[in-house]
Amino acid sequence: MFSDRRRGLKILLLGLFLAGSCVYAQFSSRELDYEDCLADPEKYAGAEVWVGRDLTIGAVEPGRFRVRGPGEEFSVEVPGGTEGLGLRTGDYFQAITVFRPRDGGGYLELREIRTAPRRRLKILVSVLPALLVGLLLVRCLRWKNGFLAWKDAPGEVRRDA
Amino acid sequence: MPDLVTHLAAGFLASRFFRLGRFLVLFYLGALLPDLLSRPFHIPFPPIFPATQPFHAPLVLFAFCWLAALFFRAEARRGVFAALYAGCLSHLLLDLLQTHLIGGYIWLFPFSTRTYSLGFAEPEYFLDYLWLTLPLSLLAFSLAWPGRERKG
Repeated sequence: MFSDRRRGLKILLLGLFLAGSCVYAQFSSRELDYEDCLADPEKYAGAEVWVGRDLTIGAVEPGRFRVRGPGEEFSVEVPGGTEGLGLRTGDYFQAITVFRPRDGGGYLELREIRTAPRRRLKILVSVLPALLVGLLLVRCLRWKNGFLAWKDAPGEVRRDA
Repeated sequence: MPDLVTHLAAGFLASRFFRLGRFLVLFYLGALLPDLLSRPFHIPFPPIFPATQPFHAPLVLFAFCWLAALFFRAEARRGVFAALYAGCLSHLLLDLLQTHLIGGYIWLFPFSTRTYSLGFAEPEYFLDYLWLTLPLSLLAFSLAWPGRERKG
């Protein structure tokens, strides 16, 4: 498993497994979205649609709110009104909605929502540990003769001498 | 996910139970790795979220840590793999505590894409403990600084 025997082949196969996992997950665990529903409104009438994977709240109106994300913007209707839900423009959120067909198209109706007003702070503070560990790696390791090794590894010192 | 400060602090506390020596920094890296391999990609580009989820699955992380270990010299690989993967598992266990309105983590991937979470705490809950986790993270950093692990 860890020997040098067929190391190149092991690296290649593991790399392919990881790349394949990403591709497979992209298609196998993809969730139903608003665009899918609009493509065939009758088929998806009443379907549950999850909204909010890294999307934010746009303009908030009494009976609906806009959803913003890179390259997409759409509305979610809120039957009981948006007041009291704590919706704030710019906040990340997660929502369970239901697709309702209308006039050849359709809309999303809110069933449940959970906002994450501190997610930006969470992302921001997460940069620090990443930098600290990155700094430690740079201080501790070096790339030499095709391998990573500790800078103060005794074997490395002998080879350098 | 809890924030990475919490993950590093938890990794620091967990590392106290092992004799990691020079592999300590790799244990810390493992404690952050699942998020480092996924968040920088799907946060700016949400449509690829599903493709990044395997990096929160134990089997895929096993493969990644094995791959990473192969870039070290043969005599260090076992320790590199063990430290990285143990760190990753500490991350996954902490993530498992969270509650999600939608989704969770695909622990059994690639055999299943069903999501799991225990639902004890909101993802932002851990920010309330920054007063504790931030000093612990800085302590973790200072103790792992080259030369310190052998003095300690």
